[in-house]
Amino acid sequence: MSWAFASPWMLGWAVAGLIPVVLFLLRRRQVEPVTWAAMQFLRAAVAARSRLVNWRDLILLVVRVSIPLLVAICVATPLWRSTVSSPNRVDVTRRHWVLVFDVSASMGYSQHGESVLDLARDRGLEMIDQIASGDRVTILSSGFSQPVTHVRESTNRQEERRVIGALAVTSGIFAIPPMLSMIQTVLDSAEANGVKHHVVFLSDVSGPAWDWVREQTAIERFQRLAEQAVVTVETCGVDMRPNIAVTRLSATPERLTIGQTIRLNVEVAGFELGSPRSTRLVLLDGNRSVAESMIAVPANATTNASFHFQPDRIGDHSLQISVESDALPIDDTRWLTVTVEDSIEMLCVEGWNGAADSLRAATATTAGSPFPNIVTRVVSQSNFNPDIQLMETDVVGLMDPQRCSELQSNGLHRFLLRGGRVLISVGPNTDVGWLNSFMSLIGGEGENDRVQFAAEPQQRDVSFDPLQYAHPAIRAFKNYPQAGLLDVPIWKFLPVRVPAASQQPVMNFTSGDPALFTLPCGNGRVIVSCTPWGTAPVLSGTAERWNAIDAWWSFVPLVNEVIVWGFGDSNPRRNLQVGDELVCDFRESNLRQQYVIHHPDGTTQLTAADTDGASTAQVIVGETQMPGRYRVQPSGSEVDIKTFSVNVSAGESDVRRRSVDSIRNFLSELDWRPSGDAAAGTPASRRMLLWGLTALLLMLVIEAVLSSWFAWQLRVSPA
Amino acid sequence: MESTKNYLNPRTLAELQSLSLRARRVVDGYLSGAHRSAHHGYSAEFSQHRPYSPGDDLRNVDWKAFGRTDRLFVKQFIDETNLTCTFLLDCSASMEFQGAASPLSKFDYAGCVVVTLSWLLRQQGDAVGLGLFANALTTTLSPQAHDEQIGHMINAIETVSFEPDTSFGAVMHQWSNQARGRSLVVIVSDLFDDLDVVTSSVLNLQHQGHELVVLQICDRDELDFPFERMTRFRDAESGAALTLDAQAIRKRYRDEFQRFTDSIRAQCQRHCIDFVQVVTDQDLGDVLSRFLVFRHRQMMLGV
Repeated sequence: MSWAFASPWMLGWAVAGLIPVVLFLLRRRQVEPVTWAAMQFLRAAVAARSRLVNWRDLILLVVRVSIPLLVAICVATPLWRSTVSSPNRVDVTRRHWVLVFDVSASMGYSQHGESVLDLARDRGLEMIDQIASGDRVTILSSGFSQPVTHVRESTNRQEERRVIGALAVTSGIFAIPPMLSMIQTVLDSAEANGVKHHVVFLSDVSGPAWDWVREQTAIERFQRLAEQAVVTVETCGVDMRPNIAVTRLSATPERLTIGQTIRLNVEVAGFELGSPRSTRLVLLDGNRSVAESMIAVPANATTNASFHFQPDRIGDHSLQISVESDALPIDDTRWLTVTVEDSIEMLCVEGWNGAADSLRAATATTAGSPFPNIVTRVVSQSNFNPDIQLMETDVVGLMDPQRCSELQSNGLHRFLLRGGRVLISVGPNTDVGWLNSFMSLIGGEGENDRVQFAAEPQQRDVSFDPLQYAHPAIRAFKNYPQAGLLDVPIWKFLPVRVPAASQQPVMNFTSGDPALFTLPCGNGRVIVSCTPWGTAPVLSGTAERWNAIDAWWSFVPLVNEVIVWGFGDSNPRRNLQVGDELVCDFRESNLRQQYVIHHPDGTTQLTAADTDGASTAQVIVGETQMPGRYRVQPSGSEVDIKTFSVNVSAGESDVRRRSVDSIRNFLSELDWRPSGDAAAGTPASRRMLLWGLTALLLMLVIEAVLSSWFAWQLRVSPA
Repeated sequence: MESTKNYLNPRTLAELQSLSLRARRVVDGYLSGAHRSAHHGYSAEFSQHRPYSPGDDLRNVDWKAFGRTDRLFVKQFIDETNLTCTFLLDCSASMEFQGAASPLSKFDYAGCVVVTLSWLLRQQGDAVGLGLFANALTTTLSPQAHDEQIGHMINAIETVSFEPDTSFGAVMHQWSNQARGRSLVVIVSDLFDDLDVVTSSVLNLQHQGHELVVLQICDRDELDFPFERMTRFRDAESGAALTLDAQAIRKRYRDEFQRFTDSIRAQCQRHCIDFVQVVTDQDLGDVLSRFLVFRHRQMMLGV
């Protein structure tokens, strides 16, 4: 429901204003007929009083009609035009207008050949035409993470029209918090004395960005803004906008070795459809169609579809899922890059000689094995050099690590930040002090946010609790008790306190202590086992009896499943969102002076790389501007082509207009209100509200005084 | 006795359909009250003695009988007509008005008053007559001192047809032309006519030697004007309508009405004409008392 004067809802107030008139007329119609004898006195009385009675009726009617109209003025957003200088109007203050255009992806929604941004642009031009010649104007737009200032305090109307006319829909989101900071900066830098600031948002008021305004942080920030300026939200476009969008595309795994099969999960959402619709779903690998199917998209809900796909070559595969094109085409397609490698490179670092034997044995792939091809190298902890040995490594296994040097720890941390996986198996030789300090690099700032291992192991006969096989790393064991996972004897383990907020438990011990858990770190992940993988007395010959994991028949599938999950659970550096920074690393074998960047729109760009010594090169493409497939390749080489998939934020597909009521609830705390449509809307300042309320109060007092005065004049007394 | 006294209440009277019955009940109720010995007759021929009651005229005490018996007796005389009374009863359409809370219309009430007083006068042996008028005299019964006269009057009142207009001055003039000798004239009307015409007509009658009593019959609604909402008032005589906010003009209306009544009362007082305003919800006993007290005072003054 809108509160602008031009809104049809406001006719309700006009009806309220008519109520006194209708009551008056009804009262006149509902006359009581009386046959009367003493007419001569009646005529004399009427002759003396009729003029006063008529004046009373007229004045009280006007006053009573004005009361609901004043209430309407108090609660409504007056016409923007009324606050803008007209040629005949004398302004007592100069104004500074900040026009904030939402140019996010959802503003590209088109109906009848006209996008929502077109409407916003027309409205902006209309405003420019109405702004007084001496007033200053700043035009801002936001369609990415950072807002853009187009015109800064210009009084050149021609330039402002040109800038507004040139605004185009981007593929990004309307980021309100940085926009507020930008507006604050603009206002702070503007001339303060005698200038009245008006901030006008022109947006479709859709997407998660507008959900944020209901949070306390937003309220406080808008409060600060409202103290400096009159703030208006212009809601552009129609309310009901049906849209079908691919809102999620994921693959399990996203990184894999050749021969494995990918399961693609697609989520398609229907917004404001009214009724379910069918659409064709097409899967492409590059430009090659792989599969397609028809799906029914429910109204105002999501549906899921899945595809199985086995890549036939090593390298990056840019998979693309599309639905039929609609009014907002930008979200009809999503891309996903999956990386197919010939093998998973694993480096095992032994805390003691032979600690990695069991792991190496378990990852040794034989022909016909269902497991991925894992190539395992083993180094002793003293020979572990992260900067060199981790360049070609996908997974690092720290088997019963002793105290790592600072160099080694920092190298591991960098490896994690850029997406590496580290499997830590604690054991009798693990230096708990070092491990806790290493974990503090990963954990949060506070003491309670950090993983904390106990100094002494706990000796208890326990076994694994798979936690209902919820974690994908052990989901393969579900319904297969004969695999032996639950029967593994464990006699000793290292208790650990893991912050619930950060950990992802894979398994617990039956005592309730964590047995295997993962922690995120940058783009990478740490997988920690609280009992060693390699101390079975039978195989290792150590006197320390911790468990019989590596001697149990569940060991080989457990190791492979955990490594495959850790390796392939995501490919974050290849799958980005519009606005994310695209950075591409090249290793020693493909170092070049120049690299070619292929953008989704077909344009190419030649760029130099930042080199890290002679071993790596980093190509920084910068903030991505559009959805689609980006490719980066060494100049003159066709072998090491890196593919990146960039998608619009799924929130931009949600074109449902955010409830003006909910925004108003929040706005009411600021004394400013949104307009109801693109055609009208105004800055309604706190002062206007106060004037309206004062006038309303005055009218009520006048009504009471007049009623009493007339009653006294007419001596209306009980019969 | 209580049951007959109830007939002084107009609401009870309204339940009686016959005017004759109403008048008789009123008389019975009235005479069985506190003033039963006050007025028996004023002729010269002795009739009987009766015991003295407080309030009896001391001039009528038989002092000789007191000397013989040591008890006070009052002498009563045989009735003998010494008064001619004509009732001029307004039968214009305005008299047909009956307020929402009133048990009787103004005309019904006025008829009741006329017949009751006639009855009382006949009890004293006086001659009574009747004139019904609106814009002219429609019915005239010359004063007669026989008992059938009451019946004729009742018949005339009960068969009246209301006229749509009043011409007070013309009627009084017409009646004075055809009246023989001086008499007591009791004008029973709402007097809703021009103030000057009413007063001049009444004074004209007095100048011709008539003794006048003016009974203004009003309805309670006409006095209080109790209407609250928009009301369409249709003139009972002309049929013209007037729609207005009753509440807003109530005070002014009351003032106008009061001013009219006060003017007539003042004129009457100035010329020794008895003016009595009668409201149709008033007890008839009060009306009769005021009339008879007036008559008694006149007798005492030797008028």
